Amino acid sequence: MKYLIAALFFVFGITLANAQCDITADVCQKHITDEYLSDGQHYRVLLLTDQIAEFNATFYGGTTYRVSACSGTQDGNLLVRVFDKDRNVIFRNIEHSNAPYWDFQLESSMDVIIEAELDPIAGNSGCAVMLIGFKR
Amino acid sequence: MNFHKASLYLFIALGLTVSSCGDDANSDDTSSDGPKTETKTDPNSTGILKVGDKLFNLPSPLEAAFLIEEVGGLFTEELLNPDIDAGNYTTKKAQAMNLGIYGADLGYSLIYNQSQSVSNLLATCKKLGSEIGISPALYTTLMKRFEGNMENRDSLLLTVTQLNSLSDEYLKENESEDVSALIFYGGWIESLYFNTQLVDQLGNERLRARIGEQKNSLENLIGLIGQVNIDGDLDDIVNDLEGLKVVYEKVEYNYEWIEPETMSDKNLTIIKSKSSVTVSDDVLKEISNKIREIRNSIIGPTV
Repeated sequence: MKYLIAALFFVFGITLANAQCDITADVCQKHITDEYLSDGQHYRVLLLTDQIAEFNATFYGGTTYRVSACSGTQDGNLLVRVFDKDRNVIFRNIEHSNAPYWDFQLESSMDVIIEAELDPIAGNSGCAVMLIGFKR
Repeated sequence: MNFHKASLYLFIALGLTVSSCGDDANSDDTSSDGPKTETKTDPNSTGILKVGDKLFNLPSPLEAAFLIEEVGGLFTEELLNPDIDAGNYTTKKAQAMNLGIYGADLGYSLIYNQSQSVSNLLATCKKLGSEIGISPALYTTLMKRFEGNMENRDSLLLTVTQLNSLSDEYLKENESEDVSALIFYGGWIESLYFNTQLVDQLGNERLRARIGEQKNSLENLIGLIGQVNIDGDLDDIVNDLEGLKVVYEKVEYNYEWIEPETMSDKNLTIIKSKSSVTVSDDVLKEISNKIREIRNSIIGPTV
């Protein structure tokens, strides 16, 4: 019996977590407007408070990228930081009202590290979704 | 799915259940951290737990195709996989990698308005996608948008990127991260194949630099494949990529940090740091040969 209950909790857990990721993805997707083409990748990670998702990317010179990062059912629940490979700070959305999306215009190509963590105000856990688009 | 992941899902689900009231809390400038002014951080000094799995980004094959167009490259049909036949690939691994290859061919053909190629490739992608578990409904809906709209390139490009994004989302929802990684692997190899085949012909420095700039993307790809290579089925791919990495270590990369400029009113940061790559002729040739070899091993029919 206890195995059945554990299994039910397990299935319930997966279903709920996936459902929340789907809602979050919809919230995030609306920021990748038609002037941006998606890179075709869908980044999602389940986060607990004090966990940081680290994301490695290369942005190419002469291109403008839009990074959209969300958690939960509305904008502003995710803290996002962007660094260069030497961890010089390029951007922190906490300095811009936890902006759910930001554009990065590049003169030269560079490797970047993007970190995302839940804003403690928004809850203890959640699905974080990040989407990237580029402007032609 | 391992026990750790299962436990995490359960824990998160319970956490969501009990903390959903806090989910709508608005966070703005009043966040407890407040604005900070330092410009450099030490990742080792934070003491914050990192999530076990990093996320790795790969450039969209469309970015490579746009660059070829920008530098004056003409459509070269010989660059495409000559055999547009989903039936050539019978294992899930071959199907996924070749979906990536055909996807890159599709983007390249689309940018050059090659409607016949686009039509054939889209049908092949649908067939391969169905074989590896992507809902055919995704393709059917988007193919309808193609019909009667073949001349509107921008709209079609948007449709293709939406298709790629939805496919990736679908695969990850269904815990098929390995399939997703193989698709991106195929797409990355095909894009780099285009660039390396055209760089001599076009003699363009931007194209040469873009090939060199794949050094970091290669690291990301190795990380991505490594994450999903749980039972060693992808060891051959890891070996190929490690071999390519040895060649890429000869690419010289220079970087200079310059303070970026941020415009809050436009949600925009202009990144002013400068970088350059130097790829010698010999190294370029080595990269080209290695990419051709890997690409040919992917597109060969499953035996």
